[in-house]
Amino acid sequence: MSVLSAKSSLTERIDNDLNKLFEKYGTTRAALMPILQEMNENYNYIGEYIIMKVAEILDMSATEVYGVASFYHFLRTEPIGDFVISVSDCTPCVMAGNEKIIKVLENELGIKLGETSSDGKFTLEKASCIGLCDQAPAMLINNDAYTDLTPEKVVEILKNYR
Amino acid sequence: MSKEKRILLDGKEYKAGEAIKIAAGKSGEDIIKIIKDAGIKGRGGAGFPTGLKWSFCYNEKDPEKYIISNADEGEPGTFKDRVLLQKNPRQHFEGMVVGGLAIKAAKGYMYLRHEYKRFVPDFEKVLDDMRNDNHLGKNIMGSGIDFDIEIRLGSGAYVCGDESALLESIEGKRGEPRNKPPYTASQGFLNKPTIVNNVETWTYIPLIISKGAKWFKQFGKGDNPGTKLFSISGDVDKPGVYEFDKGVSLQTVLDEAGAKNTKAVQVGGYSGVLVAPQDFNKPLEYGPEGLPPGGSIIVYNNTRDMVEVLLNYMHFFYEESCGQCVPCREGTYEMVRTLEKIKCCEASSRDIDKLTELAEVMTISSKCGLGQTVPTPFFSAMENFKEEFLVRECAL
Repeated sequence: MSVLSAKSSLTERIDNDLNKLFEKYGTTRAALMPILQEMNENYNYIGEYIIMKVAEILDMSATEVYGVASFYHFLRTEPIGDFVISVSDCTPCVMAGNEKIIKVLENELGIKLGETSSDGKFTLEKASCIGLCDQAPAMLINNDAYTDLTPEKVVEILKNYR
Repeated sequence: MSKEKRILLDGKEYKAGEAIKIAAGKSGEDIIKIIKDAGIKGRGGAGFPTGLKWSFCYNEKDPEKYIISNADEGEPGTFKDRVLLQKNPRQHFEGMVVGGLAIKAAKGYMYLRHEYKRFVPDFEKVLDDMRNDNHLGKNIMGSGIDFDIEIRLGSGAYVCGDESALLESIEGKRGEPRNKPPYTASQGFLNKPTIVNNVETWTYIPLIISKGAKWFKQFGKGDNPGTKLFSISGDVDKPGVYEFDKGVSLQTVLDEAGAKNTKAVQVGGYSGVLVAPQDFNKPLEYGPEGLPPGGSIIVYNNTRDMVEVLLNYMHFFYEESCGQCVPCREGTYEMVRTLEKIKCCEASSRDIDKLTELAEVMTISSKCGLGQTVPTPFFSAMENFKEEFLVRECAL
């Protein structure tokens, strides 16, 4: 397939998805967040084309849509790993040894904190408190929570994502 | 003997649909009177009387009103709402329906933090069950009122715990707090009258309606009736969510959770106070002698470094400042910078004095609760642990 047709099939897919979302949530401003959230989930990040299209239909400027997308941590405006590992960094997690957990993750994935693996599969981040301080240290991989982490446990968990 | 209570946590007092059935047969005024008589104050932390908030919204002339549940539990060290929602989401939603019936609301939204997204399928199922039982939807239990609830997700912004920022977010905007007044009770979601309450408050409502104000007032103390949930973490044997009568002392809570060799306790989340042992006997309650009763308690034992602790807090606030107003955006940056200097043993008392001055400015000139309370843990750290900030062992 040529580069051009691959590109147009992607935009077609985006158009289709967006149409479904506009049907589901409507085209008022209040529909913006759920639409961006679902597009982020489907496409890994909210790229320029999505921003332009959403702006057009919701009758907003593209900068305004970008302004919203870039405000929220979990809405991404740049490509990111398929699996985002967010290690909680509140003091209960720090005291329970989250540094060790981060080190193990860095070594296992071959990346540093804040980086994405070269195959685009994993991104490693620190996160603000994820509400699991009673089971610290804790982390999220995308939407799934992992608690009472130990280095060994981390290695086992990663096997499920490889 | 254990002083723990399990009114909310056990859920045994709750019978699904009972409160909705009662509320459906009452006028809005009568429902609000029960809540007012019970004297419940908002469980989110600010402690505004719930009945009064509802009556403000009820008295607004605009007929289009909204109900919001603030489930954006982002204060570090807080996880009580998660536990409550995992145990009994229906009781929480039923509270929202009672509120909806009281003010004849057009719709309810639950604003759930992104980090709890994994619970959404369970919650959707509960909402479906409620629709099947006519506890949601058209003409709820013959009341003539239509009301439904939609779950909206946050996307990882701590500042959205501020109710006006939360509303901006549901409206599809950046989660930047609004100027107050006007308050949300008169101009909330889409500038319509709106009741915003915390998950814990909503979860209490069905019990108050079913069992009455008098029942509720047997718990707690005087002006602060009921029980309260506390999230306890850090250096304790048994971290978790505990429930106590309102007005319980911090020491009682620490004993129950098994805290030993405690040096300091962060009460009320990162934006609360860093309490030293001489104040452990104070009550977790509003008032000049009280400690912030929001519910987050992080325990530090005598091996912990308060400079590192405060630096962690300030990193968090720096990350989470929405950047809208200067005192908060620049103030949090300066806090981090100077604390890094203190950590590296390169700061003098002049740096601390400057930081204190900055903290005072942030308190009075920041736009919302975030910037205004960033300095709170700093002030209490200075009051209780200043020596650690002046001389660190690594310098010797």
